[in-house]
Order: sequence, then structure tokens, then C-alpha cells
Amino acid sequence: MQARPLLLIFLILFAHSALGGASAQTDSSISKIVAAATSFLSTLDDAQRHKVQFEFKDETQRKRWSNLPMGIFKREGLRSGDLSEPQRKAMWTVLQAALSANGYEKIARIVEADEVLGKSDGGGRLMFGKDEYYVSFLGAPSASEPWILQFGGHHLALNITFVGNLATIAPSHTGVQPAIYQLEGKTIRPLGQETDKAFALINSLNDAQRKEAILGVQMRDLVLGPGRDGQSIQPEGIKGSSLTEKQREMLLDLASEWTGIQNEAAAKAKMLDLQKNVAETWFAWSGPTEKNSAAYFRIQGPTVIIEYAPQRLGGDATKHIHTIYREPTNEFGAGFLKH
Amino acid sequence: MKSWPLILAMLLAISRVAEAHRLDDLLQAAFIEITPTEIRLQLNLNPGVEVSDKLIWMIDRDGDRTISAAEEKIFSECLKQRLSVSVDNHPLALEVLSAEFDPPSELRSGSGNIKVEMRGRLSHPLAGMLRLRFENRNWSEMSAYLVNAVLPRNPTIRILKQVRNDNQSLGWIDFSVEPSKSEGWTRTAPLIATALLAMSGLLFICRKQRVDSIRRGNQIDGGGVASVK
Repeated sequence: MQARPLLLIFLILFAHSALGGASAQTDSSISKIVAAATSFLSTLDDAQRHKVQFEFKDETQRKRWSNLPMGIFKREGLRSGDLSEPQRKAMWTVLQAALSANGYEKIARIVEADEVLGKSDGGGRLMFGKDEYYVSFLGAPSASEPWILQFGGHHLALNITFVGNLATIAPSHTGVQPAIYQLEGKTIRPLGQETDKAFALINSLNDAQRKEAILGVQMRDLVLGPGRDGQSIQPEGIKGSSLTEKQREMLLDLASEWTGIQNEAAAKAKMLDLQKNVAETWFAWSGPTEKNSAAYFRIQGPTVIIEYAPQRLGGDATKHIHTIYREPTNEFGAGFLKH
Repeated sequence: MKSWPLILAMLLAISRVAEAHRLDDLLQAAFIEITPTEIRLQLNLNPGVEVSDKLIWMIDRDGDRTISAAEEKIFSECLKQRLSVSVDNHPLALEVLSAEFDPPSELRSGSGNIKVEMRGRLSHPLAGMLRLRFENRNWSEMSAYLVNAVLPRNPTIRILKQVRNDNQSLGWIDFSVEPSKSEGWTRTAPLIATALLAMSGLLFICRKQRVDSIRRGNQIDGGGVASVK
């Protein structure tokens, strides 16, 4: 009889460590993020703080994210262009703490692409450029209580939810136009890795595998893009169990371009989760398979949905890309909060 | 009267939208959910900037630049007329359940969405291997389509395959429905009860015949003994 409480304690500890192992980051990394966020908030005056802060459960603000530029889709929070230089620097420090080095670079390059688009186009009513990105907090930054960091503008919507030492970026949108540009003499492709890894994977499949993976229909947009919260679809394409070990590694490596946006500890935890479910994860493709052509793909598993959809508007579809990252069981950390 | 600079500014704004976003098509994204008793259909319409006025003109019938509840209803019913859903070649009558329209200003900007929920009730519970067919014939000249089966919430339903035409205005969903345990019991319980009753009856008759024959045998034997005695 006395063994029962001990067993219960053991099971609770085991469940806690298993959950932590699935998505946790270290206490030091969450402390660093909270410190950076608190430091940014301390640079703001009362009016700015009022603008940037929302309730954790504010459903309207949670839904206020999009691929569209500010001229079409209005965001709330603090506009980057309205911050002083030290405040803007503090805001980017929060992002640097919350994201991995690669994730931070990717986000910065997406924002830079919009600056390039704005300069080449003039922007006008649509409002392109670095100044048109918004930051907001849902809930107060905390190492124990849940909170959300939102950062977004044209072709970018990061919704990073922290629950204690757990974190997720679901749902988040990344996109880019132009998908390739020159900066200080260098060629920049913010979503280049996603594109190259996807073509490498589809071209590693044999004929029978391709027959399963390729949907053979036009995919003109993301199926579960912004505004489709809570929707779920039947997976299609080729199942992870039908891929070789090497191809499964390639699939996970491709997915890591999204899971790896968040800081290293959270990214590692999410990757462990994807590895566990890789046999049940599907890969679907639509469009040509020749490298650098415009093709759609989707990765869908029990705990992840990723889509990549070139947009035909603006001429060359390879130059204008939309992507989405979702966790069907953990949008805005809903899964973490259940536990 | 609109001035030339204003018209030019509007044209310039539209050309900039063209650089960045959906312009000349209406995205129609359909989500189809199969349940044991009905088919649920959610249709989302996202008009591009160049076609939004055409769509708003069809919705805003009195031209007052707002969309009334009555206009939403009329538009949703019109939309329904050019949709078809059938299961194993049996067409379903669709019923509009709800409609959400973003304001005309959002629809005109290219960020707006119209979401219409419908359902088709099934005349009898589904079972076995089945094929659903969906077709959207609304505004084919200006539309881009998406059609997807929703991941079934009911564990007895399995989506086996989705097939679509090239532009996704037409789709087929092959699926299977296993009778649930409770349903199976409900269906088989009368059969089992009848079989048990029949077996009991048969056993009773057999036993009665045996008892009768023993009794008859005893009477014969008794007579014999009596005669021997």
C-alpha cells in the first residue's frame, strides 16, 4: 500500500521530465529572454507601455497577425519606426534572446527584404520597410507565468509563447519578397535554405515515392495560412514510414528551418518531438521538381504543420514566398497550458 | 467628381498591391468535414484587389457600401446554388448554417474574408467504403480554388484518398466508416437475441423429445418386465 504514493510521485516526476524534455529550454535561457524583455519595457514611457501590453488571453490581438503589409492589414502594438534608436536596439535584443542565431538572422533578412522592396517600389500606401514592423506582449514577461511575444509586419508574423521554461513559435508566418537580393555586395536569400533543402528532398525520392508525394494539382496558396487558426486537414503525400532513413533525416533537417527559428534549447526540444513522430509525418509536393522552380510543399505530422507556397503575383513566383508554421496541438502554447 | 490626381493615386496604389499580393483572383478555400450523420462544408472567399469590387457589387445589392444581414443571407444562398456535394452519387441538399463577412473596406483592400458554413444531412448513417464528390462552380473565370478534407474527429471515419482536378474546383474524397462498437451492438443485438431464442427453443424441443422417448422406452421396458415376471 505504501508503494502507491511513491509510484505516483515517480510517475509525476517522470511525466514532468518527459514533458520538459519534449519542449523545454533551460532556466537560464528563459531568464535571459525575460531580462531582455523587461529591459526593453523599461525603456518605454507610460503611453508606449500601454500600447505594447495586452492581456495574455486577448483573442483579438492573438488573431492580429498576417502576411500582408500594414497598408492593408492593421496591427496593434508598438511600431518599430516610432521607437527611439536605443528602444529599437532593445527591441531587437529581445528578439535575439528569444531566437536562435539562425532564426534571428532569418528574421532580420526578411525585414531587410521588405526594406529593399520598399526602396524599389516606393512603398506608398502599402507601407513597406523596416519601420513597419510591430512588437507587442500578451501577458507580462515572466519565467513562470505564460506570456506571448509578437513581432510582425509584411511577410512576418512571429507569435512566440512562453510557459515557464517551455516555448513555441506556433503559429508563425515567414515569407519574403524579393526572395533574393543584394546587400553590401552579398547575395541574400532569407528562405534559401528552406528552398534548397526541399528540392534536395524531392529529388532524392525514387519514382514510386514521388508518385506518392506529388499531389499533381495547382496549389495557389497556403491552405492553413493566416486566418485559418484552429483548422486541421487530412495529411497527404508520402508518409515518413515510406522514406529511407536518409530521407527522414532530410525531412527533419528541412523542418528544422522553421523549428530552429526559436532559441536553441526550445528548437532542440521540438526537434526531439519531431524525431519521435517522423514515421507518422507526411511530405507533399505540388509543382515542378527542377531546382529553383516554383513549387509548393507541406510537412504534416501529429504535432506540426509546415507549408511553403510561392506566390505568382509580382511576376516570378520564385521571388515571392509565403510559409506557415503551426503545431495543431499547441497553438499559442495551448498544449503546454493543458499540463 | 474624382480628380485626376486622385484617380492616378488609386491606380498607383493598385499597381503596388499587384507587386505584393493577390490581385486578379478570388481564392475559394473549401474544407470538408465528414461525420457519421452529415457533411460539413466551410467555404472561405478571399478576393484579390482587382476582383473585390465585382464581388462586393454582387453582395451589396442596395449599394449602400455596407453588407446587411439580409445581403449576407442572399449571397450565401446564391453561393450554395453553384456548389454540389454527393456521397456515393447521392446528392445532398446543402443548408447554410452561418456566414461571417468582413467589412467591404477590408474585402476591397485584399485582406478581407468571407466564411460560410454549410451542411448536408445524410438520410441514413454511413458505413463501409464511400466516395464524396464536391464541386464549386462559382466564378470560375476569376477564381483560384483549394479543397481539403478536414481531419476526421470521429475515430470510425478514415480518409483514404483525396483526388482533385487540376485547379481544385472539383474534388473526390474516398473514405471508410466502421460501425462504432455501440452502433455495432445496436445493430447486432436483435440478431443475437433472435439466435439465442431460436437455440433455446431448439434445445427445449430436443430435450422434450428425449424425455418423451425415455418415458416411452420405460413404459415398453416396464411392460416387458411385467410379462417376464
